[in-house]
Amino acid sequence: MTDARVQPMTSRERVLAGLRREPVDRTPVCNPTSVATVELMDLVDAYFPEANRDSEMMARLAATGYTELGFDSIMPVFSIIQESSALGCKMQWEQKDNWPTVRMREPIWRDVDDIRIPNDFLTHPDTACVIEAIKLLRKEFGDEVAIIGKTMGPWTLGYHCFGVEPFLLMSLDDPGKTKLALERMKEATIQFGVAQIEAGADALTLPDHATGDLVSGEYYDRYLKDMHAEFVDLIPVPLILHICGRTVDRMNSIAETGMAAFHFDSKNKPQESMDIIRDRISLVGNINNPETLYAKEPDAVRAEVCANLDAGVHMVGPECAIPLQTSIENLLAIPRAVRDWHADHPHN
Amino acid sequence: MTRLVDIGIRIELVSMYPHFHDISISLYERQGDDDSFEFQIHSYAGRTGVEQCLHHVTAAMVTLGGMIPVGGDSNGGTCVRFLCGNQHRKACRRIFLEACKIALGTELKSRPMSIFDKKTERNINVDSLGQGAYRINADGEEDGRARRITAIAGGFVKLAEMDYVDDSDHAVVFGCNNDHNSLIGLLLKRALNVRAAMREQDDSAGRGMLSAPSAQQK
Repeated sequence: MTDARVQPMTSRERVLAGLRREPVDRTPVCNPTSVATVELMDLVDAYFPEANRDSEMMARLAATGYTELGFDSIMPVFSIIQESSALGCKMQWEQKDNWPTVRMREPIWRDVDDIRIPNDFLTHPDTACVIEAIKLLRKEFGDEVAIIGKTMGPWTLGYHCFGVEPFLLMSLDDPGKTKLALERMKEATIQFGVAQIEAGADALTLPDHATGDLVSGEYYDRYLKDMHAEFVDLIPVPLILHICGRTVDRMNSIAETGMAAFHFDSKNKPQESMDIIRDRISLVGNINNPETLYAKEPDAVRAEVCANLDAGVHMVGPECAIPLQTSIENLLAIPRAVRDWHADHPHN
Repeated sequence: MTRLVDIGIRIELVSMYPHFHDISISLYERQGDDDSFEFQIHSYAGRTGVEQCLHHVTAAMVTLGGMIPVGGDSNGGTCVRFLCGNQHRKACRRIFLEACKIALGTELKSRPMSIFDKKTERNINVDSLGQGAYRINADGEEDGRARRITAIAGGFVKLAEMDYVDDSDHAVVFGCNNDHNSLIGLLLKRALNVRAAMREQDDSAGRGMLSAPSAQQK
C-alpha cells in the first residue's frame, strides 16, 4: 500500500514496511532470490562458482543488486545448495555461466534414520560463507538497504538428500515416515535461518519446492502448512516463502501460515493472486524470467511491472533467481518502471 | 554511483569468451543520429587485456561480416554497422558469435562464397545477382542436387532473415537490396548445416537458467 503522505524511506525501511503491508513511499523493488548475472560478475570480479563459496565475492556480487541495479534489497544466497553441500550432498559446482547443483541421483540418505544434521553444519565452508557475507554486507550498508538471507525448507532438502523420485515415492507410500523426515530436516532450516539473523539478515527467503508441477495443494496442506506456520514462530524475522510454478491452489493455505510474504511465480496472475491472499500476506515477485527478463526487451518488462502494480502487489521483482545471462537493461527496467508508475499514479 | 553503461539494447552475449579468462562480451544495438543501426561490442570485465579482445572481435566483425567501423575512438573503436545502415539483427548476431570464436592473434580473412560440402561431396558456390540477391549453385550428380540447394538457401533465410527471390527456392535476397558478399561467405559454412548452428545457439541460451529441483536432471 503506497501513501503519498509517507515520508521518503530508505530501501530497508521500504522493504520491511512492504513485508508488513504497511504504507510505503513507493512500491519496494525486492529480490528474495538472486539477481546475479555473468556481466555483474565481470563488473565486480566475483565469478561463479567461487562467488557461491567465498564470502567476500558473494557479498560483492550480491551488493550490485542495490548499488548498480537500484533494487531495495540485497540477497547474497544466489543458489539453493549451500545447506545441502554442508549436509554432505555431492555437488556439481559448474562454472561461471551455470548454476551449482546437487547430484540428486547420488542421494546421501535412503531412510529417515539416515538423517543427521552434522555438528559442523554452520561452520561448513558453504554455510559459513553465507553467514560471513551477511555480516560483511551489514557492516558495509548499515541500515540503508534490506539484507535478505535464505534458508531452504525441508521439502527441498528432502529432494536434495533423498533424491526427487525416492522422496516423492516415500510421500506417497508412507506419510508417517515422510512427516518424520520433514520434522528431522527442519532442524537444518531453523539453524541456518537463525544463524543468518544473528549475522544481520533483515528477512529470510524460505524456498520449499512443493512446486505446482509435482505437488498438489492438498499435499501442501498435509505435509507443509503446519510446519511453515511453525517456522514463523521459530525464526524471528519476516519470512518470504518461495514456491515455483502455479500455486493458486495452495495460496489460501500459504496466506494462513503467518509468513510475511509469498514470492510468487508468473504462472499466477497478479490479480487472481491478490484476490486469494486478501491482505493476509504480502506478495512479491512475478516478473517472468525465461520469457520476459531473459528473452524480451525493457518494454515487455515494464508491462509486467505495471500489471503487478495495477493489481496492488506489495513488492515487485523477478519471480525466481534470474537467468545468469539476463541483460542488465531488462533488470534496470524494473525499478525504472516502478518509479514511472508511481509518477503517473501519485495517489497510489 | 552506478558503473553500468547505457549503450542500447543487448542483442547477443558470449557469456564465457574462450580466448581470455572467460570474460563475458556483449553486443548492443542502437540507432545512430542518421537512424542507421549501430552495434557496440562491450564487456564489463575490467582486467588488463580486455580492450584488446574487444578490438579483435570488432576487427573480426569488419573482416568476416563486411561491416564498417563507426565513430572511431569516440565509441572506443568497438562499434560497427553494415554499409547499408540496416538492422540485419539476426545476421549481426551470427557475425558476432563467429567473431568471438576466433582466437586472439589469428589472421583475419574474409571467407569465399564457395565451399566443399562434405555431406554430399559437392562444391557449393554462391553467385551475386546484384541488389542483394544471391543464387546458390552446386556441382555433381543431378540426383539430390536441387534438394541440397534448397536446404542451403533455407539456411540463409533462417540465419540472416533473407527472403527467397520471387518463387525460386535456389536464390535469396537481403531485404535492404544491398550486396553483403562477406556476410554470405561467412554464413555459407553454417547454412550447410543450419540445424547444428541453431542447436548451438539454443544450447548456449539454455545455460544459466535455475530450475526447481524437481525439474533438474542431475
